[in-house]
Amino acid sequence: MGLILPYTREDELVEQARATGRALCLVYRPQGTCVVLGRGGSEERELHRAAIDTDGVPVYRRPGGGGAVVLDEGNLVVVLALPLPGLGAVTAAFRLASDLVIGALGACGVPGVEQRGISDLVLGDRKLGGSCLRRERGLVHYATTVLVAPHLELMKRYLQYPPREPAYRLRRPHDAFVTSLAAAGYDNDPAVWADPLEAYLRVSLSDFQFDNLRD
Amino acid sequence: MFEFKLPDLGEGIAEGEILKWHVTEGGQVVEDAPLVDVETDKAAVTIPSPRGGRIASLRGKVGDTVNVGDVIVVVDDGAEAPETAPAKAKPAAAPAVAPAQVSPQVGTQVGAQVGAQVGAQVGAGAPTGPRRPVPAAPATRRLARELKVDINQVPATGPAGRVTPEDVHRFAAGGSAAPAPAATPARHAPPPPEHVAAREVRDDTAFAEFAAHASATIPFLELEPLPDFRHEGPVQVEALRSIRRKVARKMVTSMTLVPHVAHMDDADVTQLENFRLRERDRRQGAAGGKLTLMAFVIKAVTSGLRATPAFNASLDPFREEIIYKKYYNIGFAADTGRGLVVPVIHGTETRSIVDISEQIADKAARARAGTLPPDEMRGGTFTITNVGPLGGTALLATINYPEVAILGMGRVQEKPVVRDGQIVIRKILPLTLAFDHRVADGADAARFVGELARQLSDPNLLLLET
Repeated sequence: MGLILPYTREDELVEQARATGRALCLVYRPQGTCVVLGRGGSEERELHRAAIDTDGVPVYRRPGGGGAVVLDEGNLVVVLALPLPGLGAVTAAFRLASDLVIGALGACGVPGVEQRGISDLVLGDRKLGGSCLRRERGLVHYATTVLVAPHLELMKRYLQYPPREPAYRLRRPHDAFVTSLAAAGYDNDPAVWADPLEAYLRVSLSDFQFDNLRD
Repeated sequence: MFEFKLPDLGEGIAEGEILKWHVTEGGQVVEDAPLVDVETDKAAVTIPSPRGGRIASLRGKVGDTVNVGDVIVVVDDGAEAPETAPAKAKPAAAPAVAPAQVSPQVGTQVGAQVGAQVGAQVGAGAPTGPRRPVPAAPATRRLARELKVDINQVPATGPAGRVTPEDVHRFAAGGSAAPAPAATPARHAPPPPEHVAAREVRDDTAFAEFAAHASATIPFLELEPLPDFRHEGPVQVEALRSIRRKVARKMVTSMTLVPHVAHMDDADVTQLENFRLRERDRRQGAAGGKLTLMAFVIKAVTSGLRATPAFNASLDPFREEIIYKKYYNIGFAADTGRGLVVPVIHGTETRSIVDISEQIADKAARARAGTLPPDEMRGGTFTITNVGPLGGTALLATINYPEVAILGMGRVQEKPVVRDGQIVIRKILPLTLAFDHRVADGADAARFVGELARQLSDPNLLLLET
């Protein structure tokens, strides 16, 4: 087993939301390439550790659940820290967060994105983004990776075929399962997307009330 | 003793895996302190302790899967008889809005991505959902502005959640309630029609659901699962993917949205072909030396589009606008072996026929090699497809949406025709224009194709008029 570091990039936002009770968002572009395991993820079952180590790529563990992902500069990470009362309603929280991101993508000129599986963002039948969620009492921390122009070959190199898969994957390998905004004909520069997406999310969250979220 | 059961964490979540205990047996815990981390599919949940006291026993170890409703921990809180907490997540902390103001289904409705329903809820006095553009025609938006009505607050009664002028008037007059069917959507109302096409069809249940939605949307449509063809003979099954999938999407979109009409005519290209073949031989090895018939057709089409702008347009059905493009980017369908792609030649109005010919050769080669970038397949305003080299007398093509017309070229054949009372043999190019009848009429098509045929009949006209 190799070194696994805590993934703290989103902690400040979550702390701020927790402290202020405000819904906050952040859209950022990862600096460099890294692999991020889910909260309960297994490097033996999910990673090709030898290739990762050969390439000198750091491995992190995030506080949210879900499977391992490869982050690189071709991705955008959309983070929502939502002060949602209660503890449960995980499914509804996923839907709510996905709906916000789908709305933001639509407003930025990417129509037709849907949520499928537990929480994937899907364009056509291909995964455009994977999501994870951390639920604490009174707070939801949601993060989704939007694939803008990622190095898809790294997924195959660093990640094993996942131990769990959504039904719509249909046993497809990584390269036949995922897509990206660039592959769908949109702008391939993540920097172009980050500000508009965040701006739309801020507006969406500015007057949002989350009371009584239920499944 | 207090027995704590794994609470209900969300719809469809029946179990979770224990990731981490924050407490140990025999240790103390205070109420609301983290007790255990549990992972459901993609969500890690930190569950706080509902009671303070001593941890009498933990009913699971890290890595174990526990079901919702299973006792996961027993807390000695000083009470004598075992007390069991219901397998429900602890109710929410005091909401920011008084309960009477809160619609119990708002969160679910928003999460279910039913934008139109959110609008209806808002009109009913519920808290607002995430702001997203409300579907409405520009005229309706203008009306709302004039009446100083926030269109986002107007309950929609139009198709697919569209706000109508009547909705705005009704709202402005103080009657926020819309007619019953649209104003009180059922929680599990079928998704709007545009959601139907993308539904997954994997098993009988999913198929039945899809078929029900589709049948409810399209009168007389009856969908049945395909039979198992393996009972009839050997089959090979391949996933629909890559270019094939893109073509499928494009074609279904076009044939669903666009009312196609076709107009057919023949062009006598005898003179043009003689000229073209002579020049091709003369220019062998030079740039654009292949000098294909397609290059001449593209040039003639560009000229025709300038004369008939309706075929160089797009129709926006949501804004109810026709966008006439003042630029001419002609796409040509190319069979790559991996499927159909449409390279685009931009700015054909400024290019010579030789230049266009060179562009065709270059882009077609790169398309076949799979190296043509997406930029060079985007932005087309009109498409030409030529099946002539492969045979066939005519082709009724599907419009390359959101364009409004496509020209199909058949095979140039020598045919007997009557000229000045005499039967003569001429080289005939069959042309079929498929066009969007919302944007243009048959007369427009007849004039467009007729003019195209006239120009292609005489290379001198091409020189003079394009």
